[in-house]
Amino acid sequence: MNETVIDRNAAPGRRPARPGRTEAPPVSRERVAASTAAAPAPSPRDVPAGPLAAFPRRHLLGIQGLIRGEIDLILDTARAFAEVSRRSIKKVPTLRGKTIVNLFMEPSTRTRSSFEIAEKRLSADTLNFSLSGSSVSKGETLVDTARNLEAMAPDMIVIRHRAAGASHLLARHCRSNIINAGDGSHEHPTQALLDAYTIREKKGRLDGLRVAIVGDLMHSRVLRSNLFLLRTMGADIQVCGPPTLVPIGLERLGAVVHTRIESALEGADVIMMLRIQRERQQGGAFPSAREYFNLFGLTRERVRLARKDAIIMHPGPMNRGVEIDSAVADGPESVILEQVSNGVSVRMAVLYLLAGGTLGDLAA
Amino acid sequence: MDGAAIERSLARVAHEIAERHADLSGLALVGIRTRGVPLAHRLQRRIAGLGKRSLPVGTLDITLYRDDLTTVGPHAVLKETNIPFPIDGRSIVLVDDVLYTGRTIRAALDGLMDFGRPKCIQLAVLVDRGHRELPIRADFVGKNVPTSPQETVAVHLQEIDGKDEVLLMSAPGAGRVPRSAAGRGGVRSVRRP
Repeated sequence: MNETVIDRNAAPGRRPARPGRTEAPPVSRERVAASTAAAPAPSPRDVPAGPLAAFPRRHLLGIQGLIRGEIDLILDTARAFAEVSRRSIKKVPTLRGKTIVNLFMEPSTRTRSSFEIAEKRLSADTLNFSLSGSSVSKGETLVDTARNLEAMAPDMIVIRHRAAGASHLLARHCRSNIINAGDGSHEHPTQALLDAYTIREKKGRLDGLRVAIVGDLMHSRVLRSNLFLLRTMGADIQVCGPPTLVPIGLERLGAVVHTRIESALEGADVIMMLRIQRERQQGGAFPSAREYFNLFGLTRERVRLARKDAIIMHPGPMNRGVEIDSAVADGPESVILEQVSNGVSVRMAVLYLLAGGTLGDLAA
Repeated sequence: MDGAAIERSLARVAHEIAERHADLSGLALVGIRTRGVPLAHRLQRRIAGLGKRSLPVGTLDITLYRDDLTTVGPHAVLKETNIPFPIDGRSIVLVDDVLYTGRTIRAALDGLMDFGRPKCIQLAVLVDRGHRELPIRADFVGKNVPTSPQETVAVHLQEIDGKDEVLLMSAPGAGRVPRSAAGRGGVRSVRRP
């Protein structure tokens, strides 16, 4: 206990438990392997219930390995941050004097601007760094780029990269807190967290909900992060996509795989559509966009198979008329724009929790 | 300090607030999380019980405004701030349980300013234990309790802890025998477990 300040938790019996701190693996042993299909997901039942008092990690590299209490803590904290975005002065001084580098080596509008707004609302100084106009285009390696950035002493690095495991690589080479903003087809943890936050705000819980995820299952990092998160939180996950875009072994991550969209949507509380990622596909996964829409597109008729109060989500950017009909995307069940608003609160929560955990958790 | 003593102190503070503000129409109470919030609600009921108007009550979480985010271990879980009235031009009475270094109040002042420009801000606390590190003082004090920096003042309230009491605890291993409770204005001294 620090004697120079009022410690609001100092009274005996009121001291918050810190169970997660001892359970968290040392950073050096963080999983670097990007092949998630073979990794066993943790059983949702053997983790303590209720949010932790503090986030026990230095980095947010993925959802895989997070326990229920950690996810609850992030979502609860995000809820408190939502209030900041409703004020007329949308700024708090929490991260004043902290420097955050946004290292975006892949195109991004939503995630990047969401992080930037979150950082600015927390009063951090931000530095944006993108693929074009950087020395990466001159042949510098990622580690060299990161080391050079780090020589300027940033406190956190938010990284988006086309290679799976890029954020893990940075975590091994940098002293800053690393946040994965999407690495190849591997993970996109803040997206899964904002999806979970949106579901929880709408449905009041995650446990026991039936979630249907439809689209390009092969290339989707959003899917993988969501699988880890939803399984940890006890949701029932149904997935569907063209067989050419279903990775082998997906069932082992806890999802029931369907080949017909109708059976996946039946009785769903939540419908999550995934983008057809043309930039990652080698081509030939399906004959045409029209055929894809006919077989897997979300239409009004198909929405009726889900529960009456089902919500419809999409991580964006949407391909209207390919994976989702405009009438559905703009319909009353759609929470797609709420997802974007919630993204700011969730990212503020992640930045805040990682910043607060810095001192005690420096891995020896 | 037991439940009855806490209630007596709050009754006096409520009277003082009502006396100081002849016109209560421009006044609002803002409780600082966690224990300032139930105290603000109790003051609201007491002031209303004096035949005065029922004042609006807001809650303020100062976690985001603390000056020790990265130097103190795990911080409290962030809770929502809820000030459901415009504070521009209003007189605000901040309410907290213990006034100690003044850093919490500094943070609360910064937090409040982000919501607008109040006419004035006053401070009401249940216990003032001294040892200020900033030029801050309370306008309404339930009880002044002389303490040493090694001691901890724990306020327990029915709404949160299931019981009303104020305890003065000496730090373990400090080798100090707690002074008699009588000398502390009725605040019970206990050895910290």
